[in-house]
Amino acid sequence: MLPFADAPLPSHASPGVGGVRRRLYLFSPLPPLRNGLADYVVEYLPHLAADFDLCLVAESGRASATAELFPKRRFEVIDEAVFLARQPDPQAQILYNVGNNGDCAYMLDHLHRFPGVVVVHDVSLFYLHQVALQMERANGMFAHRVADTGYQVPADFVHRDGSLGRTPGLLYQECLMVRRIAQSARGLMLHSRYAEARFRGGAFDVPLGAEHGRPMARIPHFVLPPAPPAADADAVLRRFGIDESDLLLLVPGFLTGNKMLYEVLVAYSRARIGQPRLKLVFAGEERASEYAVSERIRQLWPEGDGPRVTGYLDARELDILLARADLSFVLRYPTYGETSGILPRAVMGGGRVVTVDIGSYPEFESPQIDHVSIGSGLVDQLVASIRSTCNNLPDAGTRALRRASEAQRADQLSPRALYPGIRALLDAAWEASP
Amino acid sequence: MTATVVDVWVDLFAASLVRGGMLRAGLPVVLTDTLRLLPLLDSQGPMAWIHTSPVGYRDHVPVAQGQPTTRLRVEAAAEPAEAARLLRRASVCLVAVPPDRGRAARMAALAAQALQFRVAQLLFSSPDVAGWAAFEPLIRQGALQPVEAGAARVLASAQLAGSLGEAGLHDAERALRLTEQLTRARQVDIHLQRVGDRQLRLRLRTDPLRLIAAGAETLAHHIAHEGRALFNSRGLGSLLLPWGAPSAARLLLRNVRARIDGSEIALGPHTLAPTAVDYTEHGAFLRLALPAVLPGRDALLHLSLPREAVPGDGFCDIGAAEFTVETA
Repeated sequence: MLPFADAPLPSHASPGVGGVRRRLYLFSPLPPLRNGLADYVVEYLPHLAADFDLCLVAESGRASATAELFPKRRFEVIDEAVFLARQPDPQAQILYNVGNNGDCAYMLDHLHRFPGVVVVHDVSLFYLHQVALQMERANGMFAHRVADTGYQVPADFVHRDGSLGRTPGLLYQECLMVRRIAQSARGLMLHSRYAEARFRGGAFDVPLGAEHGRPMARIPHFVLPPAPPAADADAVLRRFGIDESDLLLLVPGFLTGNKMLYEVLVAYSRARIGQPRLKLVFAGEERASEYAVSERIRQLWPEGDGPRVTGYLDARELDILLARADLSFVLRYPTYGETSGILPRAVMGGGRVVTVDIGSYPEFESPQIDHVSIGSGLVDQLVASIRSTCNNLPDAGTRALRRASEAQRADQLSPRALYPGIRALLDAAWEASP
Repeated sequence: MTATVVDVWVDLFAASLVRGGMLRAGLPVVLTDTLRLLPLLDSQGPMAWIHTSPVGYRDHVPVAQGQPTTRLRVEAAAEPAEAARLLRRASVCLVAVPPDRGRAARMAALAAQALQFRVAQLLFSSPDVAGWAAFEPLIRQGALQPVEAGAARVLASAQLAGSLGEAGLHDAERALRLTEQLTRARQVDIHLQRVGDRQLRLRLRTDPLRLIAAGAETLAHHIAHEGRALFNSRGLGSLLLPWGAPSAARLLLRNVRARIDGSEIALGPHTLAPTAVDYTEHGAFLRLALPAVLPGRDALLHLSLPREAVPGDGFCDIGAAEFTVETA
C-alpha cells in the first residue's frame, strides 16, 4: 500500500462548479512501475482525487497491479479498454503525464484522438517515439514520423524501410517529436524556463497559449519535504557497507547512460589516491543496456573493492543515503533539461552537490551546489570538488543548519504548494476547450 | 420487437434490396453518428458510411486475392464534398436517427442533400430519441411513410415502403429467403431460425477482419498488411459488433500465451466478464453475453488481454467470430 492512501483530504479540496466534480482521466506510468514519472504523479493523486472524479488509466493489462497498491483509494483505476469504451465522454477532461520514456508509449495511441492537458517532462520525446514504434513492430515508420516533426534524418542513418539504423548523436540534442503533441494538446505544462524555450523551438509553428486554446504553465518539479530521521538509518547504511568514518560520494537515481558514470568512476579513482576513506555508491537501479556500470566497476577494480551499486531504492532509503552523503553527483550529458527533482532532493540531504551547467540545472540555485562545465576538463573539476569537499567537511551543526535552510526553501516547492498551479491550468484548459 | 434490434431488420431489408437488384445504381449509404456495422449489407459489395461525428478508428473489408482495404467511412465535417458526392450517387440512404439534437440537425441536412437527388431514404431509430425533431421537415418534404417496425420508429420513401409489404420491416419470410440466398452464394455464414411469429434467432459467423477496428495508425497498417484481425502489441483490441442488439458472442483468440480469463472487457458503460473460456489447440474460445449497445454509442467491444498472454514476438488475433441475436 502506498503511504498517502489514508491521508486526509487536502485543505484546498473544492467540490467544483455547481457541486459536481469534473471527471479527470489521468494517463501516466503508474506504480508498481519503477519510474520517475510514476513517482511524480503519485504525489499529486490526493490533490487531484479531492478536486476531481479521478480515474487513472493504466496501460493495457496493468490496471489490476496498480489497483492492488491503493486498497483505500478515492479514485478509479481502469484499463485502456474501459477508457475507450467510455468515450466520447464530453463531461470529462484528460491529463497526460508524458516523459521520454517507454512506459509512456501507450499514451501515444490516445493523446491525439482524445486531446487533453499534457505535462511534458522532457522536451525531446525522440526516445519515447522510437520505443513506441519498436514495441508496435513498426520501426519502418520512424523516419516518416521524424519528418512529421520538421526534421530530416540524414540519409546515411535511415534504412531503406524507413527505420533508423544508427542514431546520430545530434538527434538527441534536437527537440524532436514534440510538435504533434503540442498540436493535439489542450494545455501544456513544463517544468523550467529552459524546457519551455526548447519546447517552443520544437513546436515552432504551433500557436501556444490560452488565446490559442492551449494554455501553458511553467510549474517546477516538486521537492518533497525532508524525510524524518529514520530509526533504521544505521542499518540501511550498514547494508550498503557504509561506515561512520567513510567520506561518502553518491550518485543518486536511475543509472542511465547519460549520467556521466564513467567520468565519475575516473574522478573517484584519481581522488581516492591518498584519501582511502572515500567511498562511492551508485544509489539506484542500473540500466545496463545504456551503460553497464557494474561491469565497468569489475574491470576497473578486479579485486572487488570498487564502488557499490545498490539497485532500486525506495524514496526512504534514498533519503537516508542522501542525508549521509558528503558529496552527490547529479550529472547529465546529453540532457534535454530533465527535471527529475533529484537535484533539490540531493541538496536537502545537507551535503555538497555537483551538477552540470547545462539544461535546466543552473535554474536551481543553492549555496551547496558546485556547477561543472561539460568538456575535457570535467574530470579535473569533479576531482577538485571531491578534494574540496574532503577538506571542508562541515560539522554536524552546520549540516543541520543547511538542511533546515533547504527544507524551508523546499516548502515552496512541495506538491501542496505547486498543486494550485496545476489546478489552475486544468481549469484554464477546460474553459478554453471547444 | 424492441427498438434495439431495429438495425438487424434494417440490415436484412437493405441486403435483400441489394441482393434482389431492386435499387438504382450506386452505393448504399448509411448516415450515422456512431461506429456501427450492418454485416449483411456489407457482404453485398461496396457501401459507404457518412459520419456526423469524428471517427477515431479505421476498419477494413477483405479483398479477394488482395490486401484488405479500409472500409469507406467519411466524416462529413472533415470531407463535406466527398460526403455530398456519395449522397448524390447513393442507391439508398439509410439514416440512423441519433439522440443528439445537434448531430441530428447536421444529419438531416445531409439527408436533405440526398433527397434532392431522389435517393430513396429509410430513417430508423427508437421513437423516443430527441433527434427525430430535426427530421420533421425532411419527412414532410420527402413524403416519407411510416413503416410497421414494432417498438422502433421507421420511415421510408414511397418506393421503399411499397416494397416492404404488409409485414413491414420485420418480415420473417423475406429474411428466411435472403439468408438462404446468402448462404447458397457463400457470401455470409448465417443461420436463421424462426422462434415465434415475428421473432428470429440469427447466428452469424463472419470474417473477424470485417470487425476489428484500429485506433492507431500502426495497428491499422499491420491489419491491412497481414490481413488478420490483430490485437495491438499491448494485447488491446477493439471489435465492431454486428448490430446493436444484445447478443451472445463466441470469439476464437489465437496466439495467446497464457490464460485470458482475467481479460478486461468493456462495452460502453459495461465491464464484462466472459461467460466461459475454452482452451483448445486452435486457441482460446471466449464466450460473452453482450448487452445492447446504448443509443449514441459506438458498437465497439474493447478487450484487453492479461499482459502475460501477449506474445513478445507477434500479435494475438481473432481467428473466428460468431454472434447469436434474437429479435425479441
